[in-house]
Amino acid sequence: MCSRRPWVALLALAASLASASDDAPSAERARLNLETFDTAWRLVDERFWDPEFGGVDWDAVREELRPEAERSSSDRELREVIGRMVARLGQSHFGVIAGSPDDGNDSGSVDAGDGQPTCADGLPEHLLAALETSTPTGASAGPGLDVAWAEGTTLVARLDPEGPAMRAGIGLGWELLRVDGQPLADVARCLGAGLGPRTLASLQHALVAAMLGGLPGTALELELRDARGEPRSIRLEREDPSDSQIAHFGNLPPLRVRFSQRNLVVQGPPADGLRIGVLRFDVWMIPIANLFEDAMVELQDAGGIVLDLRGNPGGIAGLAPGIAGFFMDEKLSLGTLRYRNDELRLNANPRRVTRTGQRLTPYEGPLAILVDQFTASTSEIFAAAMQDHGRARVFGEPTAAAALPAVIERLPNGDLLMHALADFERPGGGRVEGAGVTPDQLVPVTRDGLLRGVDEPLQAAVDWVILESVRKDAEAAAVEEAAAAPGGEIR
Amino acid sequence: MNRTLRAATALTSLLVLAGASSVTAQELPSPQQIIERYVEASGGEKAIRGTQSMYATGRMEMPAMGMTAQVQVSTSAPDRLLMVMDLPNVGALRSGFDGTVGWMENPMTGPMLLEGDQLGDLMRQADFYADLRYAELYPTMETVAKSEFAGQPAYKVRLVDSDGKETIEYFSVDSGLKLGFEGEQTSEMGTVYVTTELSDYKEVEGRTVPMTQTSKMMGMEMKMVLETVVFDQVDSSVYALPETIKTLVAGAKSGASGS
Repeated sequence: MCSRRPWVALLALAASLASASDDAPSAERARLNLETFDTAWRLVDERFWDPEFGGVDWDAVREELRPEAERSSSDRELREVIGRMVARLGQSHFGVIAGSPDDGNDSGSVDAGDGQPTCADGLPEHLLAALETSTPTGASAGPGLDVAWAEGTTLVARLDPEGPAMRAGIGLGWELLRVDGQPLADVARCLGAGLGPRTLASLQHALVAAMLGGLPGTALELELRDARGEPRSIRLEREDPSDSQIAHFGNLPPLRVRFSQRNLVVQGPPADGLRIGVLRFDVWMIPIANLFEDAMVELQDAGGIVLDLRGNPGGIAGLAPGIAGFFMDEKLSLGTLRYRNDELRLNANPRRVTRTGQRLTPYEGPLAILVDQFTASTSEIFAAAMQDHGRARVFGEPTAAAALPAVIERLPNGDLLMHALADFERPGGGRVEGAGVTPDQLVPVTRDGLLRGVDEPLQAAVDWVILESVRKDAEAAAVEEAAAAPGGEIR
Repeated sequence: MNRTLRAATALTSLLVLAGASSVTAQELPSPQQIIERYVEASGGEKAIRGTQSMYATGRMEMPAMGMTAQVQVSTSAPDRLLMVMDLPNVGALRSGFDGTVGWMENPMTGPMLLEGDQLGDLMRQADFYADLRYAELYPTMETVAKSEFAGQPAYKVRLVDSDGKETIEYFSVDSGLKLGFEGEQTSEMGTVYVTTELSDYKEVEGRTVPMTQTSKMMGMEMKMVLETVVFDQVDSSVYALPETIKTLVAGAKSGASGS
């Protein structure tokens, strides 16, 4: 079972902005269209967890859209029809992914006449193509920056140390205005019609990631507004991040996986010398298992741990029980997967041994989890479970609300259908899909904070870890004192 | 042999029921008669008792995940089992039973000791002579119907073990061979209903072996295709516990939580 970033499910919405061709398909094209459409319909018909399809007349949807599918003159058009079909279910984790970069029948981008692409007549084809063919976290190089949405703007929220953006002098909190001439404001405006704020944010995030990503060594033109409000135009070359590797898993396209560990040491009272580990990874893929284990071995005596899942779209849900087991001493449930006829539980596997046989103890210190509106799927499942069990305190912004166990299967025309197989219920009850995870402490990103160089959600988490550490030390001291006192009794 | 195949399936966690419906209510052979005929069709009691171990290799195809794993299964009398499923870009999932300890190593979730129903399932799968011990293993056996399974006429036999766990097995009316089985299977994620078809029987060293096993669970299908099967060539050292599991066992004995 795997899950994937929510943008895939949004492709149907994005694709619906593209115009359709009037060209009649060949007989062979029509046959393949129908075979592909029918396969997609059948997979959902047989496996969607709710036999009532949430009140949607699934047979009627087929009858309605099948003729359109047959008339499609390109894979792109067919994807749009199938995308609309699965979108009727109103759930995340449904969508069609292009099996190849382009099927050669699509029109180019619309030009507004001033040399700049626009989306006035629909999302430009090159952005659609970028969305469909690029991978979620981009098995590709980039400028070494991550963005956040705050106060209606797209802000530089993270910079890779010594990455292209940092070397070019770009600073935190700078507003990103255009990427290769494409105004981000136009993208948001064109996508905005009919989309809810979370959906819009997710699609924007996906689009900007797709626009920033590319092959190593390719040029990128960024237009930004700097800390003083001055426009800046910066040209740089994309690079592969030094802390990344490419991961492969089944039908998923290759994914770039990044994992980082920072150790913060508190200076001064009330917790002078306290070491706090900050772990961040950007997708739940296989390499994370060993990287996380190595980090947890190193952090056994840390005063606290912050797990940064901001921008993490999910991935392989099967990794969550293993990661949770580093923080749980019991086989607690991380939630229930409800299939049409079966029910499975994700249970933490308490980690008492490393992969090399070294003894280990699940970490008992304070754990903070950082989330934002792009934290989705497995990341949400994990955060919700840790929150429900009281094992972690969650900081940041409400999450993407897109958490369904899904698989990706190949269709007859080579495209890939992502479809959810089960609903997910968090251990404390209730769904994550459609609801998301509400942080225990809401800490939005602000431009002011970024310009001051402060990661406000991280700062809040670190402050809490320090307080928790001090509180636990005080409790331990009190217990020791009681035990040492004449006639003292420990209860 | 069938339990060995079943064991390999247990390394993944999925299923689906494709129940075969009863078509007649005529006079039926007793379960004992059906089992005896099955043992005979499999090579006979003498051939089965004459082997002490089996080693098989093959591949497990999981189309819904776009993955094909290489599989190795070693099993020895009376109840030793080691299964290795090598998943591309993931690593090796291993599970074993050494007569005392049931365990699993999963690159995604880490090593663990098996307990409860999961351990019980593994022990049943490790039973090398299980085909000769139906009466002991299943206090309740009943021929339910002559029906159809996998497109073939089949005797449907209901089996209930001493823990009350029910399994349905299907035996070919024509050949006597086992066509498949269905029932609940336990993994670390819970219990799922699995329907399995056995096919492509071939004779190997005097035994008749199903080379293909197709399992359906939760709307998904997995197919295991055996490529080689050899008997009496397994070194018992393969069942030694891995270092990770030894550490967990030592921890459990010293009073730490077992898993």
